[in-house]
Amino acid sequence: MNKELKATAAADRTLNSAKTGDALTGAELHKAIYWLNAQADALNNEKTANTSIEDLKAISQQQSDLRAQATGLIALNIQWLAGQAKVEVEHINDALDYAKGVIDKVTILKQRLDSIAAVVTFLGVLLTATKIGDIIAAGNKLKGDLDSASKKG
Amino acid sequence: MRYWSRFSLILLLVSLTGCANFAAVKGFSEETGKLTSATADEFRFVSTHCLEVAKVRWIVEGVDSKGGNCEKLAGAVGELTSNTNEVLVIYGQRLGALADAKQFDFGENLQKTKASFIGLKDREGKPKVDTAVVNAGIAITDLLLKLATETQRREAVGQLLAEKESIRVLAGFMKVFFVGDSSGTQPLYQLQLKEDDGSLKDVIDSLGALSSREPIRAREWTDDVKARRQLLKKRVDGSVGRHLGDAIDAWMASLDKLSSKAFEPDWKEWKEQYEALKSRVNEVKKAIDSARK
Repeated sequence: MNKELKATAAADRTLNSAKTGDALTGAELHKAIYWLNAQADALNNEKTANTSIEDLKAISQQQSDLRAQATGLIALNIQWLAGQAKVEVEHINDALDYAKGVIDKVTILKQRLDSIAAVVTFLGVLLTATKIGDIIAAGNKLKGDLDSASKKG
Repeated sequence: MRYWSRFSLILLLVSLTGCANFAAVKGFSEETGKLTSATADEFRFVSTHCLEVAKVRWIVEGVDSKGGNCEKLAGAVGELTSNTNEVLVIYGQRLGALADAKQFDFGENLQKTKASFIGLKDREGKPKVDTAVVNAGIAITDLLLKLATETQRREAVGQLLAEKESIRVLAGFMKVFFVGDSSGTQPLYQLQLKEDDGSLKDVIDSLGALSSREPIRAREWTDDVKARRQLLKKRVDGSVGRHLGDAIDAWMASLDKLSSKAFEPDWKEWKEQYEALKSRVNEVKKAIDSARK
């Protein structure tokens, strides 16, 4: 699959219908939890004696959001209804792979923080949305935000 | 004389049947209490520590940690606890109560019978029946009471032990939380405490960046946060979880042994298993105590 399309593919990759007993739990989301933590860890490299108080606070806030999202995934236990379109681990992993590819190349702090924030927002929608349209819209927004950050810096 | 021959027959029957030995059941119940107390403590630790870390971030970094996810975590852990640990607590307590004759509810009818012996008095308040007969009647009733309740207790213990496969499922769920499953992925207990540790490391790095600007505050808070990380160390490195997993395994093995021969006195296999269980539960206590230092 074309890598540039993976973010939207995460949203409009065919959403399979759930069968009775299908679930999405924290136990399956280790890659996503690891990704969130790795991003948070990496932001510590931005904290130096020369970092402004404002930037320091923005970095810390972003780290906190990343780790809070990881906690949300750890605690996750979605029991899909039979016939319901379900979000699968592959959707989440695809989006994170695309995001990593962009974030790793962004050098300006603000753009990095905005890109990471876009991913955290996307995960939040993915895991709480009740309509397929909301998930697709979130996937498109994520791609747009990442592409914009990539162009700026 | 007719009374005595009947009573003598009953006494003979009693002596031939012997008494059940509830010591093994009592011992198992006590170790169950200790183990489930340790697991309850760790469930609680995981739930509450998330909010503690959020408070530290707020105070030191001025960060809004979106405590809502700590609430989701507490909800998820609470649900797991009530469906596993709390059931095992009650299971252990019921076995203990059945093993301890003083706690067991005596048969109502036999109590009434005993009371009626005592109550046989004439209008002047004197016992209607010969005192020796009354006393013998009370002694026999007490013995019958003991036998009846002992039979009931044995049956009740047997019914509880027969549920071991359901209990095994619950203990298995609990073990997966602390130790993970056979696929080798990290258990949720360790994952979440690693989150907390990561957050505390973030705070230390923030304090490092602030140290030239606010040296006193930075130093005080760095010491505080390092102490908090020390509390997490043995939980994050998996050693507390491993001890809990070993104790849960020993507990299940003890339940298996107990269910086959609960009432046999001087039963060598049970003694060995029981000693192994006590040792594992002791190791859990030591692991958790040393994690607190």
